[in-house]
Amino acid sequence: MPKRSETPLEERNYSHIYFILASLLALSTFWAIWDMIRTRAPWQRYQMELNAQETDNAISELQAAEADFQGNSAEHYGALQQEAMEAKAILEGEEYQQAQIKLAGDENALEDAMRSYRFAKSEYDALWYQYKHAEHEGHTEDAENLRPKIDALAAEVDALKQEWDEAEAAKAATETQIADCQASMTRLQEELDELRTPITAVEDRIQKIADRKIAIQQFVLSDFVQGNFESFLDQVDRCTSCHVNADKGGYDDYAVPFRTHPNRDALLKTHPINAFGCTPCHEGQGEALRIPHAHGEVAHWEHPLLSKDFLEGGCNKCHSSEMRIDHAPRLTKAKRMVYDLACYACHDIAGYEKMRKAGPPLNDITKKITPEFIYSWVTDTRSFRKHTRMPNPQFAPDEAKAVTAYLVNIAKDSRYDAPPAPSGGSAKRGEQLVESVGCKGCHVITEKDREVRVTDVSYDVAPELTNIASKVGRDWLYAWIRNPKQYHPGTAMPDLRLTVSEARDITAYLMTRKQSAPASVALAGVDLDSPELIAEGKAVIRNFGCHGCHEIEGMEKEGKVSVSLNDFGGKTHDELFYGDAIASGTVAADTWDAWTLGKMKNSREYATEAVTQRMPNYAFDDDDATTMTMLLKSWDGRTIGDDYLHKPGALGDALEKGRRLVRQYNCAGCHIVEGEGGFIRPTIVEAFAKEGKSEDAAISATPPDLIGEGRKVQPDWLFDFLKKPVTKIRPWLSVRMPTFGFNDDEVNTLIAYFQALEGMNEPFLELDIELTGAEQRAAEKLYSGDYLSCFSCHQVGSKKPEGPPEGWAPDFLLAPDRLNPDWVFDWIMNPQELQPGTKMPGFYPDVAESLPDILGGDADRHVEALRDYLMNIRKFANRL
Amino acid sequence: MSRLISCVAPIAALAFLLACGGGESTGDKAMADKPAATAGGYKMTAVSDGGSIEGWVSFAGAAAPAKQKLEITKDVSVCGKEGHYSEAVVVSADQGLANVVVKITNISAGKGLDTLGEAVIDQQGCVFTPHVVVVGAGSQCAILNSDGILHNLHTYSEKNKPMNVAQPGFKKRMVQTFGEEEIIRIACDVHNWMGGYIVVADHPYYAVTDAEGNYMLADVPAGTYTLEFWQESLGTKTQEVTVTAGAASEANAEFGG
Repeated sequence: MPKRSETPLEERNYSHIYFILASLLALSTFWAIWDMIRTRAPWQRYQMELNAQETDNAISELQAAEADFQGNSAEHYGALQQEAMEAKAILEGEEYQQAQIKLAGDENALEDAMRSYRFAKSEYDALWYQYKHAEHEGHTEDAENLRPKIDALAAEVDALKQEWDEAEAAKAATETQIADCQASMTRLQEELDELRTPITAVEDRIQKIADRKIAIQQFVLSDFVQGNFESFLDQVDRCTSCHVNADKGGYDDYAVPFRTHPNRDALLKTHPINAFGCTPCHEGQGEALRIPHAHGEVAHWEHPLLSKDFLEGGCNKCHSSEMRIDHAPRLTKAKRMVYDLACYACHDIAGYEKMRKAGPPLNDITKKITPEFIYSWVTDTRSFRKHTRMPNPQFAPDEAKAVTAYLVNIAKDSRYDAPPAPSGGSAKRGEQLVESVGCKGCHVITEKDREVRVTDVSYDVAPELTNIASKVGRDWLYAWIRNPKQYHPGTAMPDLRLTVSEARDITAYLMTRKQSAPASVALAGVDLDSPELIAEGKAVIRNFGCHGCHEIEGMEKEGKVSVSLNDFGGKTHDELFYGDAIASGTVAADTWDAWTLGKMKNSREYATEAVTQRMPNYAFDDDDATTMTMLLKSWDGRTIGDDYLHKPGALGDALEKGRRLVRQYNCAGCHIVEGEGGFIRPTIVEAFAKEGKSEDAAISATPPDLIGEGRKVQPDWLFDFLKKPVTKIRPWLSVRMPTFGFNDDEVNTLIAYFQALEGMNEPFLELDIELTGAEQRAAEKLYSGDYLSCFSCHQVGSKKPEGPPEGWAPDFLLAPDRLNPDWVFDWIMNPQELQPGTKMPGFYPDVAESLPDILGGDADRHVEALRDYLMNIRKFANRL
Repeated sequence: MSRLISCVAPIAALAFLLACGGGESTGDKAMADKPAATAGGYKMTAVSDGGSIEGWVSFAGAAAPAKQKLEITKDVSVCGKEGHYSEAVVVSADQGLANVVVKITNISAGKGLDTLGEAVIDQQGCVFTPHVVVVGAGSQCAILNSDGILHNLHTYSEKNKPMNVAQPGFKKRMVQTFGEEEIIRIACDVHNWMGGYIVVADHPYYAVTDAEGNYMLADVPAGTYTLEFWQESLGTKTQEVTVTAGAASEANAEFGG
């Protein structure tokens, strides 16, 4: 065996390998820690940054508080401290020490006294028992023997009790003495603390910030969304780990992620973050903690964060039943578009069942327009009317000829008969009528109307009439405006109760509205009576689904021609057909968003030679296309847990039904409803300007804002008025409330709607207004010219105010049947509150204070008298 | 020994790196985005060596617009049938333009708001007199009713809450205050021809031209300012003016033409 020193030990030096391996280990450790702290946990940084910033702010506040203290309170504080020193000296003084020692002595004495008493008392009780026992057993002698002992003990007990009481009193006296010494110290300490409060409060806050744990914040939403196996799944949202101030006020001007949630007061109050989390509205991957994972902008995450354009679609998850959603103007617009444009005519859409047909019936079509017009219209609607609500069928010439043949053929059975219009009529008077009676609430009639018009959608809700004479004949037009329901019983076009001469003048005017060059048409040589062509036309109509919007003979049993949209938003991009759009570059990417946007802008975008597309072309502009894409995206087929869904309740249902009707009949064309509409206003301003009248005058000539209508009027009155709106409430208006021909259901829907807007549901209003003698006398005075001068503006039957009618106010004689007395009270008390901008001035409470002699100068009693008199005014009308 | 060093060195290096990393500031992001507090409003001080701005506002062009007669349709016995003319443009015999509001738009300190004096509007003969009145923001504006019939004061404003209050004949005087700087149109709905303006000023360097078109702003601290001239129908004009201590500067303006 060789010697150890000769043993060839390891001679190679491995240190460089160790160094490399150790370096690798170190680097990977470093990387792991770095990844943990930096990459995977941006939220830690944000939280630390927030804490640092808040601490900095608090420190500057602390400095300010210190400075303020030094400036204002330091002297007082010093004086108090001096007093406190003195008080402390007392506490450390001889007397106080003595008192403390005495207190200890007193306590011992008290203890002793109590003990002695208790011993004596128990001895006494024992003897007393023996005595009673002996008495009971009949050993009177024994009992008698015990008697003196008991008496002696009783005296001793009494004496000891007295000693106890004395010891207690002595102790209390000493305690009082000590407390007196301490009291001033306690008071001084409180005062000193009070002076320091602004500083200590900030110090506490700094401490609280320092104590905050840097931790993941999360909300668990239980049973939020239905999974693949029926059961509902929870959702975990950790967004506030980074978005640290989302639900904290005061950070509105900060950058993301430190910013307060926009519109927090309105949105997070109704959707508390702990109950609704974030992803139900915003989408994204709630559990993730890294960008882009948390925002869901990673492969295979189906619901990435909604961009600003699509954000309001998030509301639709739970608010799908509503037509108008507060704080979501784009979603509200989208819902209106679905209703106006009748997407439900071809597609199944939940909540849009049993809807009206959006277009006119076509069974009498040749009584209205020529075959040539039909042909050119179905070939390209927009060349005649750029803003028409009807989507463009864009039929190829052969299809258009066939459709024309079919429609012309069914109209042969038409029994509709428009009598010839009376001859004559003044186009000039007609123009004035069209400008004044209210046609422009719905129709665009001149190029100027188009310019000044402001509406809530980009298409026309009623046909543009700038070239109407190129479309319809004089006789049809006259009959139509005299009685629209004769031609189309379901039309939204109301009856303006035009007289024969008015209708004749308007017809004369509208017949001047024509296109300079009529569209050239290629129907020459086409046999519209050919059975093959008619049969082909029927097939085209059935295939394209014209019957979805139009009543067409022979199509009564046809159903919807296209797919359901209820889960369209949940389709993946590979389920969609792109045609040649990707190759040609018209669609940017093969994503759902790009496909749908492309489809909305041009519904024939993906047609190829082999695959035809039937959807008529809405040809939306960018904004409308985005709006519709947003809504479609929200219809993704997910089922949301019941707890999260918005439940409209009875009032909410009434609102929704009403909103659809208000939309159908375009009430907002003339009236302001729910703060929107009054689209006729600019055209009245325009017409007034032509006559040199002011904008103010024009505004007072516009139909009323319906704010508060549900509470303002009596339901019975509103029922009668909506059925037959002939009562002239505002004699200065030349615009007319038309007769819509509502049925009872529709009128009740509208009444319930207006009441629901006021939070009311009172189809029957109890009226019981009594006028006392004192009220009558006061009211007669107040109404008069010496006081409130009500008749200066208000009409009372045939007694009219001075000046031109546009300065007048409604007839008092209408009030008893029309107005709700509760509303009248509030109205007189503060008209501006109920209808901002009204001409009715506020009198109260100032007037009552200046008139102490009338009903004690009490505003409530004044207004009650005014109201009660008004509700009984018919009794006094003839002497006013 | 060297082995030991070679193992320990990278770990030490790592520790060092971590220490440095830990100390790195994270304040490079976002939290600094909070905007600076807005500068304080107008400051009131005593002005001892100010100058003044005087001037004449004129209506350019050969002929002043014809006076538009207003039709009086109501309460004729009080309002008077004749003598009511539109005050949309009021031009004097030598082309001076009345009722033009002149103000300095960029002054941050100067005399007190109380130097504007008391603002009073009277309703006399169914006309707001004066047609344009300046009132300090938050100061009282007295509204008189010399007519003794029902008037109402209806304001059209945005920054101040619009109001519409009745002033029945027996109420000879009422008082209103306006908090925000704004030119507010006022009207009476009972007598629709009545109109005027309340100019709510947030500093006292406001003037209204008199019937001849003259105005003066006194006690203006020396400096260069922007003057704004506003006329209800003719719009706004601005110009620079430099004020020197103890001297009067001139700034004239011309509208229309």
